[in-house]
Amino acid sequence: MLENKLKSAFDAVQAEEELKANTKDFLHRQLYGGRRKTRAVPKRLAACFVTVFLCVSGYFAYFTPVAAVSIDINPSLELAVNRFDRVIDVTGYNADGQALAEELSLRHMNYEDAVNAVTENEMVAACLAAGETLEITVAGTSEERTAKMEHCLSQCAYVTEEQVHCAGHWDEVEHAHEAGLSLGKYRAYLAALEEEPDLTLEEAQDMTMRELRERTECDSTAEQEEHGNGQNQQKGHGNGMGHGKHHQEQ
Amino acid sequence: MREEQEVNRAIDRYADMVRRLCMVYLKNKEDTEDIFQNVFLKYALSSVDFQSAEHEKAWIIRVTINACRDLLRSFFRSRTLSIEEVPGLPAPEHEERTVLEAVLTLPEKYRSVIYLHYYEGYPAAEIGKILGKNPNTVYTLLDRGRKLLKEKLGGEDVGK
Repeated sequence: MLENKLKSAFDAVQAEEELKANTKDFLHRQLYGGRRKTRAVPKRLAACFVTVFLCVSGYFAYFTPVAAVSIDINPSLELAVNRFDRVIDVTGYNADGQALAEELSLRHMNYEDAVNAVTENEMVAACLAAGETLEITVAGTSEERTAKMEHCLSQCAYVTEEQVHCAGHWDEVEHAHEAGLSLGKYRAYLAALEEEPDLTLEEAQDMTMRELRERTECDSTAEQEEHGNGQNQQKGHGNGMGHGKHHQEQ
Repeated sequence: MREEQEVNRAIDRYADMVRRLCMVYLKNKEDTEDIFQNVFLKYALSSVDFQSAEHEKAWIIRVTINACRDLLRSFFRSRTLSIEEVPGLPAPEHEERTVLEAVLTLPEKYRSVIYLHYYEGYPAAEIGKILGKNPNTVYTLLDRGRKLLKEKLGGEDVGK
């Protein structure tokens, strides 16, 4: 009977195992969170990791200071500057410095604009008018950067070349902070300490830059007078910083 | 939506039947794969509460035939192969191949009723329900199909 032949003929047709497996795989992927999802997740995870990495590295690049600009007159404050020449932190090292830091919104400004904003401030102008000494000190992790910053700052409107110093070493910034002083004042304190070993950090904190420099100058002058003029005996500061008195020219 | 295990069980149980229906209607592997995915995707998403295994089987047959017809009407269906190229057919030296080739060369309207009646064992009334045809029409199709098949196979009769 052909009916039986039809049955055996159709019996010979069977779904291939590959066809069944492909169908199951397709449905697994479409409906049950299968391979497609597991493939997609690592891609999404990788994209997330890259984004997070970029954000974190960008954050650290932006918020890592590579230079410090210390501005000292009576207000004493210090700007932390990042690799993009932006101010990322402002620290006041005495009451006036803290008041100035709070008054001026210097964060995220270009450091030159920030220094201009400080030197144009009424409190600073009043100090200069009263004959106080303004010093701007730069230190950084790279000599090239600090040299460039020193040059740029000396071009600022209310700043003369003599008022800008380059400390050169980042270590010195850390030492200053450990002493509770701004970089510029710390250097002035070290210079004064050569002449007046009893001078304490607390005393230095309360002194203006002019007062600190005058200590150095007075002692230096007195010593020179003691040894007599014309004997070619000059007092070395010993710390290699080469400080001088830098009065703002009125 | 049905559980994955239930869907996999349906694939294992009905894959051969869906494969044969695909052969009756279609002639290439790509279209067959499309139908498999389509049918079992509908099964997985269907909320039909099957009363029995027969109910479930009839549902699968109806969905498969509809999917095949839709694909045949589709502009995007893959190219049609000649009988010699149809995958899954037994080797030429086997008698089964001769019988299958005879069925596949019948006009489409006879192929499905021949398969459902002579292989799956459905009576004309059931085939009418599955295909949405009048039972008398199914009887007519079966009768004409049987005669055509007899001619193609050299006068051998197909039992009723």
